[in-house]
Amino acid sequence: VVAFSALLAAVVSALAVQIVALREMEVTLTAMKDHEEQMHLALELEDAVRDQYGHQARFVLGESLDLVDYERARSRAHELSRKLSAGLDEPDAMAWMSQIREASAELDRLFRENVAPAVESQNPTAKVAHERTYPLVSRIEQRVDDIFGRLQQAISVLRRDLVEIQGDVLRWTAALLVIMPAFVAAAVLYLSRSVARPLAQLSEGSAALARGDLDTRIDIETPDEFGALATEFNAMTVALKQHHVKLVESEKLAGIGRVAAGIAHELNNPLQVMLGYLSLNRDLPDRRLAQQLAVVEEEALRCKEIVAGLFELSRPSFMPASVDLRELCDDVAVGLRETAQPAGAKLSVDGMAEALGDRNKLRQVLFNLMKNAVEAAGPAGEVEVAVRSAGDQVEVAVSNSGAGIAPDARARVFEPFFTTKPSGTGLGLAVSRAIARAHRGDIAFAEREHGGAVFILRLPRAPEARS
Amino acid sequence: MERPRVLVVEDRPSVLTLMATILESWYEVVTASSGAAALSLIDSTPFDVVLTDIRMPGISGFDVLRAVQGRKLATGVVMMTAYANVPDAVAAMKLGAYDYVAKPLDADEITLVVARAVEHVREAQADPSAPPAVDRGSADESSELSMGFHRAVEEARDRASREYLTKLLRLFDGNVTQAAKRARMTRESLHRVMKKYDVRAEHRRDASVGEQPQAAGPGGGLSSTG
Repeated sequence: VVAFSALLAAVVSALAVQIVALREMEVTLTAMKDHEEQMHLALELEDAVRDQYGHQARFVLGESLDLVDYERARSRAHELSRKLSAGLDEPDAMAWMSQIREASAELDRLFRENVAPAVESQNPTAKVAHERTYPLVSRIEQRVDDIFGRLQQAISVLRRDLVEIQGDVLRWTAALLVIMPAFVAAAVLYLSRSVARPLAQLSEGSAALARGDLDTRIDIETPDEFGALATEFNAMTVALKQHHVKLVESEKLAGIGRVAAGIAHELNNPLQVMLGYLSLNRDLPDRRLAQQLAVVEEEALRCKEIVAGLFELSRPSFMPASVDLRELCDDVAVGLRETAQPAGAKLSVDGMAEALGDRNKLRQVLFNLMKNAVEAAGPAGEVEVAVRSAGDQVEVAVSNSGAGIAPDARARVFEPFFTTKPSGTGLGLAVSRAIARAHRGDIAFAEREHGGAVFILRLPRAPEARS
Repeated sequence: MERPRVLVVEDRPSVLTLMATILESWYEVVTASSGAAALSLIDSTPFDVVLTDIRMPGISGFDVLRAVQGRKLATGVVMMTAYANVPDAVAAMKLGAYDYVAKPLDADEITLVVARAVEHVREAQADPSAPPAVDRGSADESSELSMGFHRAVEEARDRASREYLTKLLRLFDGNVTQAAKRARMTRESLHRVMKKYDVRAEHRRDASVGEQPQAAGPGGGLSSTG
């Protein structure tokens, strides 16, 4: 806007200067015309005075006795001198003009008072008297010439002025012709810097975004609309990236879920028949074979657990009810203590809360979390289970004093089939999280303050018990 | 003692053969590989127990259940369901199925549930006013939200199994061999389910007074001696 205003002001002032110059030229030309008219008048006056003198001479020589022609010539000279003096403004010229008038009046007075009476009385002094008028005529001629000369001089001055003004106008025009493109170029440069460049940046950013580059950022930090637009654009790409990551994750999980469901479904049928026959042959008299079959059954049951996990991963179905989490944690803890090695980790449960959920599924989740914690803590370690309410949610934080989780494994702990244990299936945490999310809850991982890991299960709180 | 008749309905041959193998030592087993075949068998022959898969192409286990109920047959219907479809079985219980077994199928569990179903049918025939073996009273609609119908049904059937085993053992004064014979299962099998449901064989002299192990004749229920 500033650039445009400056450009407009420059153009307008240049044009104003030109108009003023043209006006000056017009004034000068008018003055010159006036001067020329006066020069013409001066020549006419000279002519008229000569005419007047001529009539006087003819009267003296007796060629004409009529004074009418003389009178006409005299009044013409008088009229012309009046006109000429009206148009003059220069002191010198005006003085000369008054001399002309005086001489003219003297010429007439001499003729009427001395020459004319002498001619009428046929006095020979008439010629002498007439000769005395000639210097007057000469003086008038001289003065008219002076005025003429002065006017000529004035005209030449005016002409010089005119040339000067014309030169000025020419220079101004030339200057404008040079300055205007420079101004336009400057304006274009400014516009391109303030509009075109950010526009190009925005367009480049959009194109990059369209190509799928979600890390695109536009670097415009001006406090104008472009800066605001760039900020919005950057915020948009950040949001897009986050959504994209989420989408990819959920797509991945959904894909794994579909595969898991397919595998589980296909494995389930043969497994159930195998387990059926194994269960039918538990009481074989051949003890050696019975023992081997017991091992086969044990392993087949492990397969069944994996299949169940795969089903959970793809479609955690549950039936919500009010679940006493403290009781459930204690229950799981008792089971874990029974199966633990003689010197297992110290396991303690604290706090209380009621969640809305499926008791069996939540038992499975808590069993996974607490079993992992006990294993991570090691025989000399500690596992603390803290149950508490937090607003609309309830939390179970299972922390262990183990070595914690390696940084590169942290992002993957909830990934299906990811495990750090030699005999793990990698389904425990994935299934647990799937169950928690199906409950509209979640499982989060955090580092424990003095080393070790904390897994926090969050679940919706059970509604107040009806009385 | 007349062998009770059991119809097994299952579309997968391997599962059908397994079920027949588990039950054939003790029961008169008839197999149907589709719902349609099951319906025509039900119309032509009486069965004490129908053991049916729920999800089958065409006529489903639900249809078989409805057919049995529509004909007012003295038949206990036990639903079989895959691990992930337990809610189906619970729905079938609501419709009046006697009980369900969840796959993977366990021989002990199957023999126990069939034994219970047979006992239930015989009792119902002897005394039509007898309550259902699996008491669903605590699992009505209003308690569904607060407690969970599923859990209620599971608890009820565990209770029913426990009560059945307790009654059975009391009847034979803790003699597991005889109890197993009556329940049509092996001694070892009975021991395992007793352990599972935490039922102990107690030789209680006072309880045995007046009780006659052989009193329950053909067609008689366990309760007929009580």
